[in-house]
Amino acid sequence: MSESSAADILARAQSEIVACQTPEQVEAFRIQYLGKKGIVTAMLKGLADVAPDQRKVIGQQANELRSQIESLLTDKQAALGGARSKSPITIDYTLPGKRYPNGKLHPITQTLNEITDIFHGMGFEIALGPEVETEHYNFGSLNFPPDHPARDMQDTFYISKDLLLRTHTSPIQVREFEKKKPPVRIIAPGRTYRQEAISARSYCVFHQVEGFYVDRDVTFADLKGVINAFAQTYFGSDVKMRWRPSFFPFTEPSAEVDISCFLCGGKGCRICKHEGWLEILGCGMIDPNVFAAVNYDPEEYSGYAFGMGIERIAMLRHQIDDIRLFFENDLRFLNQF
Amino acid sequence: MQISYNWLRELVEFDIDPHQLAIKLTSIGTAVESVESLAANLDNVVIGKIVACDPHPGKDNLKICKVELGRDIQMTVVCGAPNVRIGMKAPLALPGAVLSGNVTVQSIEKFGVVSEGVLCSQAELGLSDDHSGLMEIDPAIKSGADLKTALNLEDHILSFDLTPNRADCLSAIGIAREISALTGSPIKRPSVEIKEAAEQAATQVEIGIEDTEGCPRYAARLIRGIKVGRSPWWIQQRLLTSGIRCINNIVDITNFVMLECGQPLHAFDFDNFSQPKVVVKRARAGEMFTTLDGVQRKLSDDVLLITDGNGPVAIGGIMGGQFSEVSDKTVNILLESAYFNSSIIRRGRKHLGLTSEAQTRFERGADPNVVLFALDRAASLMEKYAGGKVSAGTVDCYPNKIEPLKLELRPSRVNQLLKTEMSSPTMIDILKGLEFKVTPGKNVTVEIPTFRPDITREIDLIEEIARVYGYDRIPVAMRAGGNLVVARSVTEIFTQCLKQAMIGQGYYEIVTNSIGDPKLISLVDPDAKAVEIVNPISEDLKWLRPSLLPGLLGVVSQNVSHQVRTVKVFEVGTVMAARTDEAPIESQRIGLAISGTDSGENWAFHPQEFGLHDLQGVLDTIEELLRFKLQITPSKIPIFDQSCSFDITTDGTNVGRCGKVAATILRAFSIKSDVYLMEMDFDQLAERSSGYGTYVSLPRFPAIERDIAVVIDEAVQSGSIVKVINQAADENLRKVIVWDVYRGKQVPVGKKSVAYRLIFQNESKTLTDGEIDNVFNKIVDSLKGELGAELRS
Repeated sequence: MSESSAADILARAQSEIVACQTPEQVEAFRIQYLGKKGIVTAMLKGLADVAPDQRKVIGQQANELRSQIESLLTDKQAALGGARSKSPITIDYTLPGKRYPNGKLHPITQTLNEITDIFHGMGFEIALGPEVETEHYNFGSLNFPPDHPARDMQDTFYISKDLLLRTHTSPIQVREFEKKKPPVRIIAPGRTYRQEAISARSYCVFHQVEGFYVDRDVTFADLKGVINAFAQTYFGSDVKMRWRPSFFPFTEPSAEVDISCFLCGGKGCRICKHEGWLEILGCGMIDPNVFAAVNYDPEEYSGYAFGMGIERIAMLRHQIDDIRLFFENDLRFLNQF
Repeated sequence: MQISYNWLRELVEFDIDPHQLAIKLTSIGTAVESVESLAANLDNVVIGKIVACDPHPGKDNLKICKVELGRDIQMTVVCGAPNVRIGMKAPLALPGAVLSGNVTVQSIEKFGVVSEGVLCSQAELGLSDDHSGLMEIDPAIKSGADLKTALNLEDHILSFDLTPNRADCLSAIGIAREISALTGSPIKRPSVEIKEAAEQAATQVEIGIEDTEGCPRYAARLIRGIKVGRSPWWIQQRLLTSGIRCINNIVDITNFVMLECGQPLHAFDFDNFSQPKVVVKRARAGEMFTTLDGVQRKLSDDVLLITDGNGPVAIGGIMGGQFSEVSDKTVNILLESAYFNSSIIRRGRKHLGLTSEAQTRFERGADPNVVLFALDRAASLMEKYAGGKVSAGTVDCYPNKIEPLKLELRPSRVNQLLKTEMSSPTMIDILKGLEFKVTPGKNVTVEIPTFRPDITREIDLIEEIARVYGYDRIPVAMRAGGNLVVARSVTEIFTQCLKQAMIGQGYYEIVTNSIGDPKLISLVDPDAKAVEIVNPISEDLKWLRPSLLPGLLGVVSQNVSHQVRTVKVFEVGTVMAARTDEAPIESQRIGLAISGTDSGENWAFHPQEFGLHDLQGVLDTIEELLRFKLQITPSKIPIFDQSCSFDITTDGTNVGRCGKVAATILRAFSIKSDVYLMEMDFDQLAERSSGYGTYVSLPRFPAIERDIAVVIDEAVQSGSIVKVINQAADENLRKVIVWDVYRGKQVPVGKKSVAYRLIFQNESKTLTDGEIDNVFNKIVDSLKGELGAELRS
């Protein structure tokens, strides 16, 4: 192929384009020159066979020819106002972006992840336990005497005389103590069950996170340290803490911990029921009877344990007023988090 | 439990306002739930004496009363109360007063007579729910006096939310003791004086206990000649502020004493006993008994009975009998003060499904040694306010005296566990404040009063010290210590990655109830071995889920009903399979459901109906995460449409199932659109997860692509085409991509065109066209020969 032939092709194309009067004729012109088997296409494909020293020059010519013919086409199409004409387009920058929407993690998972991450960062290992438990692990080993009113604090679903749905994640303490020697520092999330009527405030299934640490010389002050650190990490460094004595069979001394309401700063509002305080968890020093059940010497070791309801924390954080929403899984709800 | 602030002030001296008191009590573990002003709305209510009471000419059941407020003031009031009569004193609400229900009193014409105020019942004043008639005011109180001041109604009610271990706080004295521990001022117990009659009680009644374990102590007094009537106002007021209904002076006094010192009492009409005898014993199973609330109850041997030797007169510690109850006609009473064992009361309560104020106190643990104080206190009040003659002596059956426990406390242990620097005397003061008897020493010896059955070990004493000392005063420490190796398990990492991948593809995570409806579960999995709850909250929440699918379908159903166009949800959760005589098998599964159209509502995409290939997309994602292959093969799973039902396997192991939900199932869940489901055994996937990938060096020579489109019978699966391609190719074929599937004008009916991009690459050289043509031609020949495919170009 020579220089003159590229010029010839262009000249022929220039005369032919003038003759095109309809969009169909323009299309035929396009196919003739730029189609799969068109003249210019063939020229470009043929480059492979050209001697390497000429390839660059001829390649340039062919590309130039293609753009010249393209501009002939564009002009003609614009003149005819045909389907292929490119009138200038204004970018509509107000249109929504083009994307496949994400899904979301369930707010319970989000809350659980954030809580376990905080404790993981403080040196807590993660452990899990079964949801169907024995009387022994759920109650007996946790110092709930038989026929004791403490058992009524936790209405229980039974699946047989000895098997039940765990009412708390605390059995994981005993299961881990049986497996390990101190030091043991664990965070244990999981699903728990209470035989309670379903309402805006309670659901038969819910989630807890249990944390515990056993070692030599673990003190109540360490418990305060870790819980305060958690609360300030999760709820903000300016929250105030209130520690109230309470009762759990498996801890002694026991406490319930409140934080100052993060919505009103403690002045009193709807969320904190005008008390200024929000209860976030229960905790205490592990009762010596729990240690006795797993052959830890309570004179040598001491430890703390704490537990919190994930739904409750999520409800506080997101100001959700009905626990059932978590289990209904309405996408309009899930989409909000 | 509710106790009034003024009552507490009578029992212990302190100078703390009600709201501060609530905060302080809560801070030592005696949780106050609320503080309410008793008489916030009792302004403009005075005491009036009714001096005239005439029928209303305009209305039969109304009276026109003249009410005197002091010497010179009289007002006309129209009143319809049944007990209104000349000479009585009653509360008169004057215009401006606000009555219960937020009614403001006005001077108003009633059937032609102007009523200048309202004569009030207790209910109208918001003091109780008694609206049976006008509130009777002690005639000794001066007419015209302000009601609030005259009746000492400027008071606050503290409602307590006590933990079950603190039985000792279920009384005014119990709470006063907590205040005493806080403030250091001693408790002022009421003094008791009885003028006993000559008759010896012991000669009149005999007491025997058959079950001394269930009832370690039973004491009684005999009181004769009582007059049943109304209690004095101060006793009524104590009961009202504690939320207990007033019945009559005898019952009210037993309740008052219980509220005061925590010991439940029971008064029997002694004349209804068949013989002068009390025998405490277990009921026979199946025995029937009518309690004083009129309900006939079937007993069991978990129920303790008080009998007169012939038949039962009360259920011990829980509720009296109808037959022996004190009535208006009662003259002689046997007053019981007993100590029952908490477990028998608990078992009896569970059997009967019956709770009472007495039962709560016994079940949580009463004090065996307050029995006589309570008995004497009640007897003295009955003598004073019911005109009773108390027979001499107490009949007290207490075969094995319960002695206070003695414990050793190591002060060093207290400080060790709390990280405090408390002195021994500080600890001793705290314990003394709680009425513990303390003998100082290197180790402190502490005698635990019997009203604290919850204190049995040194650690319990440490808690007492800690709570009164104040949790806020315990220092805050932060130390790492222990083991700082906190590796995350492969499962944990895989779970997080998988969930992130799912949401990245537009799936919403859901969390559904793991307790489900047997009907729906067996519909979805007819062969499921579900675990059944013995005591479900309802019939449709009775089985533990053996699969995630019913929950997923429920969520699809609910969302589709809200006109959601795209439902893409997944759940990772525990399922259970029952085993005989063993704990169920728990395993984790991942399930997902899709329904509607993909790409939701974005203008840039054309929505397509979901199909099987969307599920396969998820499988591909999981494959990528796990770095191993998952296959699906047709199967006949009942829940799925039989044309689209698949097992998911890896290395020949079944790990799940997926498909299009059958129409019958959709109907059961009221779903009108198609739904595709997938469920896999999460544990099996996680087990195979290799954790972290290993680097493979990047190719140094270019890849070469060739496209090939084959026209082939509709029935031929792409998988077999790819297999033929791979078999025909050499090791340089690195990847086969399906990039188009076409059915339409240019393809004959019954055929489809599938286009593949073949990617060739070699690690050590650039492949030449000739090398590739060679392989490519072999591939084409195989496709033609083995599958009868035609090339489309």
